[in-house]
Amino acid sequence: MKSIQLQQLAKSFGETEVIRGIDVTIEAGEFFALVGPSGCGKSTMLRMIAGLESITSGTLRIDGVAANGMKPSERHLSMVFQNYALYPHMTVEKNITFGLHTKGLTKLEQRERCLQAAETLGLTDYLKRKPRELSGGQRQRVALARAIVTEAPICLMDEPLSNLDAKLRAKMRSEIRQLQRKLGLTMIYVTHDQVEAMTMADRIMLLNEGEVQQVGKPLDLYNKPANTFVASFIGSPPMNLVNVTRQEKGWMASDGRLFHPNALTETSQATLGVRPEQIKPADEDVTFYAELKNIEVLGTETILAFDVGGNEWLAKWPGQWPLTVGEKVACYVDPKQMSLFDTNGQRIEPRQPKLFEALEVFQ
Amino acid sequence: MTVALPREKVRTRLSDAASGLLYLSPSIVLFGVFLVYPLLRTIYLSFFRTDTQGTPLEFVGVGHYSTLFTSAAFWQSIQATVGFVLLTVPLTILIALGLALLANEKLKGMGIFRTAFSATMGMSVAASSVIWMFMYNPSIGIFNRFLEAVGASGVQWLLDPQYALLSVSLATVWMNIGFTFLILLGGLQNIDRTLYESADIAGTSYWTQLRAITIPMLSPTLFFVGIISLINAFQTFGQIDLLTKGGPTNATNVIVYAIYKDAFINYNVGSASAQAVLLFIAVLLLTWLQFKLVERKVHYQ
Repeated sequence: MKSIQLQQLAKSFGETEVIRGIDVTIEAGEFFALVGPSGCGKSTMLRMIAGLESITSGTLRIDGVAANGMKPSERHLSMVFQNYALYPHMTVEKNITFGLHTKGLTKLEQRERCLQAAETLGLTDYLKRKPRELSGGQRQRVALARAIVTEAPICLMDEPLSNLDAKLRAKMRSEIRQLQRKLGLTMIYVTHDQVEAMTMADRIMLLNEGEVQQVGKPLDLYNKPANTFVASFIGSPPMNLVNVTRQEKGWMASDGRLFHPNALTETSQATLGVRPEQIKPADEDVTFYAELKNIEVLGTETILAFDVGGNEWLAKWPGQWPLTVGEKVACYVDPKQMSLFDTNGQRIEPRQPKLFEALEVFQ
Repeated sequence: MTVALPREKVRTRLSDAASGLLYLSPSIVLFGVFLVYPLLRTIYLSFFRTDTQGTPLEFVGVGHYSTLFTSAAFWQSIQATVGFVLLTVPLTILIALGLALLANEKLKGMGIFRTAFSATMGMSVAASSVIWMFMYNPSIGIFNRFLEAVGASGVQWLLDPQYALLSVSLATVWMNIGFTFLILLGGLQNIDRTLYESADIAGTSYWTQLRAITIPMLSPTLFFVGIISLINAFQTFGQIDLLTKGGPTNATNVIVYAIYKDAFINYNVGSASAQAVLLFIAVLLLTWLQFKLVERKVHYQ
């Protein structure tokens, strides 16, 4: 097991900065997900760690050793590419063992390792086939087998599941996770799919335009997004946001709705965020009334859509609710579950249990 | 069992065929007039003794063919042709492949080299032949100047039977490199970069990658280039006519040039037709053989 350390790692293509000074340490044996929208630099960062892309400035350390100038093969890692990068003219067996001779393994040892990897991934019956005779899921497994057969302590994956259908993707998600645990791999996993990151990773790094937005455990990112970008990227549907101004009675949206979040700040302008599942049907306390624009009954839950301060908000109520469009419903949000962001979009940490008493309710 | 079609259906089928033929007619006419008719006419003429205009006079059966097989001149031209093909085809492909591999590297200013390497494609055979004629010139040509500069004696490049075929072949290799280079470079650029990146991570050497990835992935392109070059080499005419006129002592009298001389200088149209038919059969067989033998080793994706 090996750790990876990035110190002020940066990358520019000519004048364009694509990665701006990233600092992070990926612990040995950790499943680390790099998430972000397309073009955020996550793949570039992975390729820099792999040695396929040069490092413009900063230091990359693998197990404490500076690795900037190392060849990809000297970094003792394996990589799974988005398109699997299988050799179409070689059999599955040749694909898996390709390059093993450079590690000083005899033909017999290569074959043994190949059989073992094929066994692990259920490929034993397909060793004599060519990649084009395999299904998408099987090709994916060949790519995984090729990664584990080298017994490299670090494994890099670049959107490995994006070419699979939804059902297979869910299956492979847990399979990759189990494999990583079983082999104790240090895994860096690039994806644009926040569900993959949330379900698989020990820690997530969310990137946007080459800058780190937040690094942390999946639930930290979910519950305490560091800024509005994280809030709107993580979660499906994402966190509801609305601009609010500070009033005597609380924080007021442009339509007059009042909120009383648990946060203390000097500023008069802020953005308020609430997760859809934190908007609950009101029993006694009512935070606001909502006029329904749309209702989706999904069986286990009901998604309500309504306007707050000009933004469309979504609420996720458990169960099946027989509501109609245009109906006014009372909603309740626990003040502790509201997030507040300053005008730069940065999270304001709550400092007091409760700042405002709920005085009035917007009708 | 045959089922009589209702009249309606027969009629629509006929009109379908008619409109299909109508669409095809431009290429049918073109192919017919310029390829099929000359081919059939050549085969026909190869069985006749003709006058100087090529009008058939007397049916001689396979007479022309049997004369050819016992003619020393014919075997000499076969020898020249085979020699020419063996000298040009492998060398052209090897050099073009080397240049394409170099030009496929991502380095600054590579566009200049790509343009330079493919430039011969834009030159006519006539113009390049004239350039090479000057370079081979025994008194003012650069080759002899160079030889003299290092103290060796000059060579009669195009007039010495020992060197003439080699000289013409070298010029031909130079002329064909541009096209071959461009096709091979296109083939190289079509190979997925990630295959090499994956091999880099595995730690394989450049030569292993060349042998295990590049060549197999390029094999369809190499196969195509091989067949095209082979057919081209068999049909070479222009540079022979301009550089040596088949001489000296028939050393560069390749088959197409021999056909031309027989038909339009000696007015022996029947014999020329017979040679053309033999060339056609030889190229057909070779191409068929290439498909049979090589295609099994070609990896189409």
